[in-house]
Amino acid sequence: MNSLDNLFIAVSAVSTTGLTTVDISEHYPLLGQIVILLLIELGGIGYMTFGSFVVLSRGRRLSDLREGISMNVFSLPKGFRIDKFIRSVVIFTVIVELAGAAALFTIFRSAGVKNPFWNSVFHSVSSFCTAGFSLFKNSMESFSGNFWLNIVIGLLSLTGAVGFIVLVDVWRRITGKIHHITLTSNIILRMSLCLLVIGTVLFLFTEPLMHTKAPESRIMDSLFQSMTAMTTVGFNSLPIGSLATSSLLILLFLMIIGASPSGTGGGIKCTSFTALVGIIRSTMRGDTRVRFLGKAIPQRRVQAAMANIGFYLFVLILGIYALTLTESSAFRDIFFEAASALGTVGLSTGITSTLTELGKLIICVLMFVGRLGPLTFAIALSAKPLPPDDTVNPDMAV
Amino acid sequence: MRLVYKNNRLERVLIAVNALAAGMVAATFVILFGGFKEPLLPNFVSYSLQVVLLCVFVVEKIIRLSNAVSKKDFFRANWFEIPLLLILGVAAIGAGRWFALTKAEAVEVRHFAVGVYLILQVVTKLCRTSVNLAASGKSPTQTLIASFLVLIISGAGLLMLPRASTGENLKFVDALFTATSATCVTGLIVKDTGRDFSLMGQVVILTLIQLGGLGIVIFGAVFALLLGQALSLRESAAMKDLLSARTLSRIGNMIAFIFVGTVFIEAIGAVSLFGMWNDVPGRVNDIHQQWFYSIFHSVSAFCNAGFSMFGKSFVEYNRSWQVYLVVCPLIILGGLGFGVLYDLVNIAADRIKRFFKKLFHKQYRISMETPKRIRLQSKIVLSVSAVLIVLGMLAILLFERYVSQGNPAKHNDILGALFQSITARTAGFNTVDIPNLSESSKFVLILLMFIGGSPGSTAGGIKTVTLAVVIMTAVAALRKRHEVEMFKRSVRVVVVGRAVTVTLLFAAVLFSAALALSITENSNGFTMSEIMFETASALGTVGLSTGVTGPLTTLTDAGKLIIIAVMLIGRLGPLTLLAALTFNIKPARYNYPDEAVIVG
Repeated sequence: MNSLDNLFIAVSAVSTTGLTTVDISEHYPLLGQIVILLLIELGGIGYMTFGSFVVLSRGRRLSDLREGISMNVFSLPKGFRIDKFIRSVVIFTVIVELAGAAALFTIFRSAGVKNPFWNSVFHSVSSFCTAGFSLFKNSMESFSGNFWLNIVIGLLSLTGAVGFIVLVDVWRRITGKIHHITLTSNIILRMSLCLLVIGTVLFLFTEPLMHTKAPESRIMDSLFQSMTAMTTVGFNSLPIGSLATSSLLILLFLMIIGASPSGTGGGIKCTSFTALVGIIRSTMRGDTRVRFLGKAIPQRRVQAAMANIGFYLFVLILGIYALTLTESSAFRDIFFEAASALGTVGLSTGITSTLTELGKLIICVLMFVGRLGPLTFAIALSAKPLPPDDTVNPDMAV
Repeated sequence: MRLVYKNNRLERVLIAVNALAAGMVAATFVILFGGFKEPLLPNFVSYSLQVVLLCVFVVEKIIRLSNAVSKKDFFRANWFEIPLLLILGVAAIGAGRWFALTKAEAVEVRHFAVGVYLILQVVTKLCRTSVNLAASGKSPTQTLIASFLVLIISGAGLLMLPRASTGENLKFVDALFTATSATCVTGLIVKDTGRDFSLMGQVVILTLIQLGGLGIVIFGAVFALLLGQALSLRESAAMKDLLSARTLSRIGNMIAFIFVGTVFIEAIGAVSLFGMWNDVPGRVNDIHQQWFYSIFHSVSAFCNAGFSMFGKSFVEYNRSWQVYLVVCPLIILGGLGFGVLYDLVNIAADRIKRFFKKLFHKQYRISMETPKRIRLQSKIVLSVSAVLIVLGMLAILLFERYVSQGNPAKHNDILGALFQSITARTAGFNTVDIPNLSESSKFVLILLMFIGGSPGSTAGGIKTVTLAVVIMTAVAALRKRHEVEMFKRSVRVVVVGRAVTVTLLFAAVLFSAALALSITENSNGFTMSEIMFETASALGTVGLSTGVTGPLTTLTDAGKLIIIAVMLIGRLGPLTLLAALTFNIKPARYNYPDEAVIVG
């Protein structure tokens, strides 16, 4: 165990990625595993949310700056009560994770897994925070036929990835408090569903490994694998390293797009992807405004989305190039590893443990950059005073 | 250059006769040279048919002359006919009398003269028709696509003729692949151009490259001029308003410049390449073959096609200076685009004029009109191209341990990296074995192939200007500027949208094609880098390959069809998109309400 591996695991946990250079169930005692779990939890809900929760519980208000930062992290719409919101986020998280853990407990116990209590808590948190850390050596490969496990892990990851706001929005719509869910929620739900279905269908029909399996387990495996790539959770029920090139490309596509901006997942985010589709559509129609679902999207938002995607891809390309220099692995492994790290996914074709020291550092940087958001990173790097005509827009969330 | 005729019905009849005659010319040539092993008609029938057709064309010209409203315009539009007819006439008539030639040679010369005249007639008529159609603005996109499809299909047909290949007849997929690759000036092959094709097949390929290259450049120029007009008129004017006399004359000038420039540059290239074939003894010994090879490679380089007569491209010639001092400049000139060349030639002429005026006329020293400025477009193209060549070279050079196999001389390393960096955008020759390159260099090449050359050139890819606009958009967003700025000019929002759209659609096509290819080639076991490389190469119309295509390819027919489709999309996509985006503008008279949406 050297310090670089510890650093790697820590970064991977805080960024909720799930790439590991060593087998954590073997190399870390229970205490180490608890630390990893805490890092995941902290990273997943956002350490800022946690910090503000502590502040709130003492009855103090958040400073303006902190509130602004929290706005950024959670991509809040205008007029959101931040303190109330954070409290409900944490309560919601705890409830979901407890429910998940309870469900997993029964599954693990009936499957005869050692130490089912700790395993169920760990995997519940790991799925909800879309981290994808697993205490099993081969992730979820031994459970690939277990229907209920697939369902529970899938629901937990989707809940985490879709995000708090959207679920609250949907809940309020169901209980009749509001008549329409917001445009953002609408886009997120539709796009996530769309990506999930496309990924599953493509995977189902192109992966040669699937031809040997029974139809229902084929569908379940494809769905699970697409889900873990899209939500950036990063569990795998199939051996990723032995998948065909076409399947890896499908997973890459899903990993790069990633989850929704309000959740714990990574990637360029499905809203940015929607903005892309919108730009292409409006340009094709000769329309100067970008519309989606009949609503115009402000130019600045679209530009921010473009910049975000541009930087994401730029970092990805740089990362791949750097890795091709330090590693002797095949291009597909490197591409997959870099996209997985930047998207904070955690799927791997199996080269993580054989990375060179420089390679590990590059992956760490990618995970870090992928978590903080390339754009946040870039803005922090090139902080410049705004031009005078440009009044600060408090609701500019990117 | 549209001529006005007195009698329109007569003109229509003439057009029909022309089309028929052109078809028959093609048919006679196919029968004569296209070579079925057993001639379908006796040769003298074909020759007499050609003479008849020649008479038809001459009569057609005379009728048109008498029918034209303005004789002056007619002569101006057909200025090259008279000297051409004279030269060929002298050659044909004088062959037996004034020049010392045997009878057989004289007959040969006559046939040759008739053939050349007919070919030129048909080619100019085809070009003029397509240019007129493109410039008429009714359906430039359809014309572009249709002309390419016609070219490809007739090319494939010619390549399938028995005498086109040296071995057995080509399969349809292979012929289609080769014809598409040549017309789209890509350079990917499934047959060895030098070995599997006879001279006739090679000439067909060369013609396809030249026509494909010229076609894309001419359509690009026409679109660019129309686009400039469209932009300056705030995009709302209908096409007919754009076709002012000025635009038409500018299109005419541009096309003349393109033709003259192409022939001039390719001729210089061919002459300079001539000495190169002796560097590797035993490959090209015959002097006629040497000339043919020089012309072939010159055209192939200038059109950024990357077709080579050698199975391993220029790997064997990697120590010849011509590869670096002739082929590289040809590729770069071809990739800059005629818009930029036109601009540069204009400015150079202006500077020279000013210099001499200053020298000889004292009064000009004080009162002088402002010098011509280099256009923003040219500035972007030149700077981005230079940056990309240097960056690409450094990226390959710094970490490439295999640049020169078995020849670790330092200067050759630099040259090899430089050549690969230039050829990846988007010519497709290579002086090192691409499959032996390291993964990092292949990745760099994929990026360069994706970016490609400059607008209005024969090169493919998303184009340098698009890249610059996309990068500057990101920079503008970071610096919180409303406008996208370059060289102290701001770029219109519409243009930014287009750049982004082109880039994203290219990326989407690249991704889907790689996916489709990996599905069809699942049994072939190509690695992801090979598939990505091949797809990027086809999409950027480059022609570099890591071995997925090539004379020994194991590609399935479905895979070949995918690559054919990708080459076509890569070639026609950007221009079609540009035209569609420019000409189909329906300004909406309403805007929906804004609502905040979260991105990122």
